[in-house]
Amino acid sequence: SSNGSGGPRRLSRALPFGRSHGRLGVSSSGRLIVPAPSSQEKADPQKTAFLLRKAWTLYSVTPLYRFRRGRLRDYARLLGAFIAAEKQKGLAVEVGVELDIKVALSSLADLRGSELDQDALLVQLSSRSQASSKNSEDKVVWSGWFCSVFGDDLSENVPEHFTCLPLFLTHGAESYTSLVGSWFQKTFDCCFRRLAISPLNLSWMVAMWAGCKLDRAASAVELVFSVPRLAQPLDISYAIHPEDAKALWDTVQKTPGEITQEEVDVFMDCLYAHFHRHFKIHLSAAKLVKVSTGIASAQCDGIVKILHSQYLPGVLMLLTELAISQIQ
Amino acid sequence: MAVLRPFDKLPTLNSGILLVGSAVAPLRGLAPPSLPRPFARRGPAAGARPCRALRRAVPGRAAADRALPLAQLVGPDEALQQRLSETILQEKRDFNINVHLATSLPLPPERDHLRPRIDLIVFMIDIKSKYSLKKVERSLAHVDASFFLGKVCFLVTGVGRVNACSVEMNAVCKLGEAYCSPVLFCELELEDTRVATAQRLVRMLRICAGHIPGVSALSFVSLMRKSDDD
Repeated sequence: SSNGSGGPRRLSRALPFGRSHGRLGVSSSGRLIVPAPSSQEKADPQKTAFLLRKAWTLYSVTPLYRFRRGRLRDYARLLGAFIAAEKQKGLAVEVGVELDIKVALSSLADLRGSELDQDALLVQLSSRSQASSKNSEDKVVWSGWFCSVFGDDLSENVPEHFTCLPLFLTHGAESYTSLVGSWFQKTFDCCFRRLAISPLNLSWMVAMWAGCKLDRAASAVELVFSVPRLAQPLDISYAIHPEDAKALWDTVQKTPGEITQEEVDVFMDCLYAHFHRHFKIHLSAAKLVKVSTGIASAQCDGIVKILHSQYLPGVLMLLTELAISQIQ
Repeated sequence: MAVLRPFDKLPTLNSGILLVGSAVAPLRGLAPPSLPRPFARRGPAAGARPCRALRRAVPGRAAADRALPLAQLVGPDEALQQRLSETILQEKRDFNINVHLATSLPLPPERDHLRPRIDLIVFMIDIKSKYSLKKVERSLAHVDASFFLGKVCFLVTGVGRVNACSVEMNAVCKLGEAYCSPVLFCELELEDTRVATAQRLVRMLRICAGHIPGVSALSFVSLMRKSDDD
């Protein structure tokens, strides 16, 4: 991609046009099959509780070469040594604070969709400040996890010795993310890229999530738009009562468990028309930058927060699909 | 209701008229609080926006006379429209081009008698704005069916920024198929592709204005469609 003559922003790489795949698992018929919410007995909510209510930054990862599940402790040791060495080199991760970083790698068997999916991989950096006593607990300063939920499109075609975990989520300082990322890139010859979510994909997410049933009172369905090319940048926040949003989606959706592009368009058009009727503003010309519902929230720069464990696989499936379409 | 018809006026010699349309900057309703209400007025009647004409005579010819080749660009972003039309007019050619810009159709009927025959209509759809697609779809109703025999094309802009995409590609391709007109993809913010797009449009305009002997607009468009299917 090259810089435009007008602005300094990079242009994003184009998806091949006319490709029906590559957008949220839409098959060539334009339908998305939504997995049923996971039953409580199958997945242990305790293990995945730490994933909820945190803002995760999304990356797409190409398949890892010669990654061995059995060697997790070795990898943790090597990564720890790498981080210590980088700190010695003067790449101070935190100014003025001497931190001893401990690395832990573990597998999460609950976070997968199909048989082809690999178990998720969790990386945690914890620190024990030298000032505190020996008995104090380590504080997790950074966590990141690789996962693949229904990432069959990638796993099916991958050659031998490659492990497919296309989605990488991080929480913590950016400096640690780049350290961990560069170690993985060097060790497993993979490539990390920040995952951006287009307004089209955000509208799919809000339509899907607004239609999900929640037991207790949920927060409002909120859409945030940014208006381009005005003298002063303007953000518009449009909040809808969750029951109204769900009622609207229920009238639009024809087959439960299945979503088509037309249904998403109709849902969004209804919301835009309602807003236009009251404020005379065409939201369809503004850029949708953030959606948030009781289930999860997502931003266009690739930051996601999941609020409800019951719908975790569904959300991860969408994000895996996005990551795969960015890789391919 | 004013409907554009391709053959209701006589063609002019050695000229091509291009009509470029785009949906008006849709946030006219977003007047800053200090401005009075009238600026926010938007009704169906206001859709007939004044049509600005840019014309440029070929150097060495006599002063441009009113009936010049007419290209009509119909689409949303006025700044990009302007830049595209300037690039078109900068192209080296040996016939006169007149580019008309409109934010939507129908064109104001009061200037109808002054407007020359339109040779090519280019509908501009911004990939970042669903509104532009809707506006173009509404404008299509004001174009006579015989225009779609090769004198209309859809120009999808902003394809360099797919991460900001709000319009589904399938919908645009289906629109092109439904109206039997070619869909061109371009990125007008980049100089190179803007120039290349302008060259393509000028070539199409030559064919649509009838300057290429043996090639009619209809035969050209069926040629493009055949190669798409392949």
